[in-house]
Amino acid sequence: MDQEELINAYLEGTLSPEDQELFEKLLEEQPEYKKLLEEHKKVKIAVTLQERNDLKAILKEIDQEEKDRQKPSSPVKSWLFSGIAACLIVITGFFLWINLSMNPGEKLFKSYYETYPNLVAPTVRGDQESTLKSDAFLAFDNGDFENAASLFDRLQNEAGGDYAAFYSGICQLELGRPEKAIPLFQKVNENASQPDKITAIWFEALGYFLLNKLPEGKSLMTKVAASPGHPLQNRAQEILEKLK
Amino acid sequence: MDVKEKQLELLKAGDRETLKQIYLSHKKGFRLFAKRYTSDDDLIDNAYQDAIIVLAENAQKGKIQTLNSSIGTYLYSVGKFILFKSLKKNHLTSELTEEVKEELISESFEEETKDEMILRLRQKLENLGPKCREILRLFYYQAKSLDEICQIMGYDSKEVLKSTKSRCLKSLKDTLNQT
Repeated sequence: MDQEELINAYLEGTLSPEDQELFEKLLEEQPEYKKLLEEHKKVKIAVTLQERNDLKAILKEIDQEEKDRQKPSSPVKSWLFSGIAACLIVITGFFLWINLSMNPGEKLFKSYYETYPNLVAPTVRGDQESTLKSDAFLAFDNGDFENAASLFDRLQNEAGGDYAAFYSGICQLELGRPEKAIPLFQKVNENASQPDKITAIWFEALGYFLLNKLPEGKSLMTKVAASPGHPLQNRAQEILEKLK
Repeated sequence: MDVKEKQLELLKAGDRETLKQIYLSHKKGFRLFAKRYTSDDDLIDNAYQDAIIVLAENAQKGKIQTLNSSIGTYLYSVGKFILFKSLKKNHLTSELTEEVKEELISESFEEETKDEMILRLRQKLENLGPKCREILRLFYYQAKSLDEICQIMGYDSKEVLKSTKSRCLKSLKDTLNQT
């Protein structure tokens, strides 16, 4: 095997473990091999960065196409900006006041809650007919949680409707109504898959935190913390540590 | 084969339409989710595009043939990690394992984007012929073996491919030394 072949095989990962070991020894002992390998690595990085650049340009083109399909928005007058700025100042003050007056449960909720994304029916313009399900998720993706909640409630009795109770619960949390959200998360079946029961328990626990019912929330969080390999396990353990 | 597996297969084959469909499917949801952390739309879009690139690359390299979660979950987890990193909010948790996080950081080549030699190589790559560019792209970017490249590009012999690849690299090196 010549130098180039050896390096090709090394980069392909097709060297046997023994040959791999020998090659690594060669890299240490003979600087020319090391130099050659470095050159190949630089080519690899250059090719990769160039490809990513091209791919990003394609994604930007897709964005542009989508923008062009939408109507141009009317020009915004400058007085509107002043109004918005004034509102922002009032809102910032309001949130500062809210934050300072939060109880421990609310603080925990605020630190750990994040909107669960739509992973059931992604909304793509123009390629699907309007159904109750697609309307519900469209409203959800648009942040219209009041509408989405009522649509999800109508979907709950359908076969495979576990997701509907779950997302209706998320809408209620978004709307600041944990007392309505909790029973919805409890409706999610043990064997539900997308989203799964443990994720529903996580949000149910957060609902209790928002109500400042720490013992109830903690007991549910223990179940999440004891779910090996679950994406939320670490965060649940973190919360339990804080509650000690 | 379910929808997810089919989409991964198509991504692996470099199907642009599938990439576009996945990109548009989750974009709105990711934006809504990311708005919780920043109001900087460019930053959000960048993180999302980078996550799409990670998905496409890993699908092409066959690294995510057995994805346990949905494609959406994968995109959200990667996008969220990239967003937190660019917001310098590394203390915020992400669902990714430490191993995946380390790989994302090392494969981001953040430092190398400023390396002068790499910048020049990128310029010179554009001057190579289409055949050379394709060989280098398949070998270095898509991590295909020489045997696989022979099949993809219709080479009868691996030896011919090896010497073509070698010539391509030499030509790249020569143009680099000219300037």
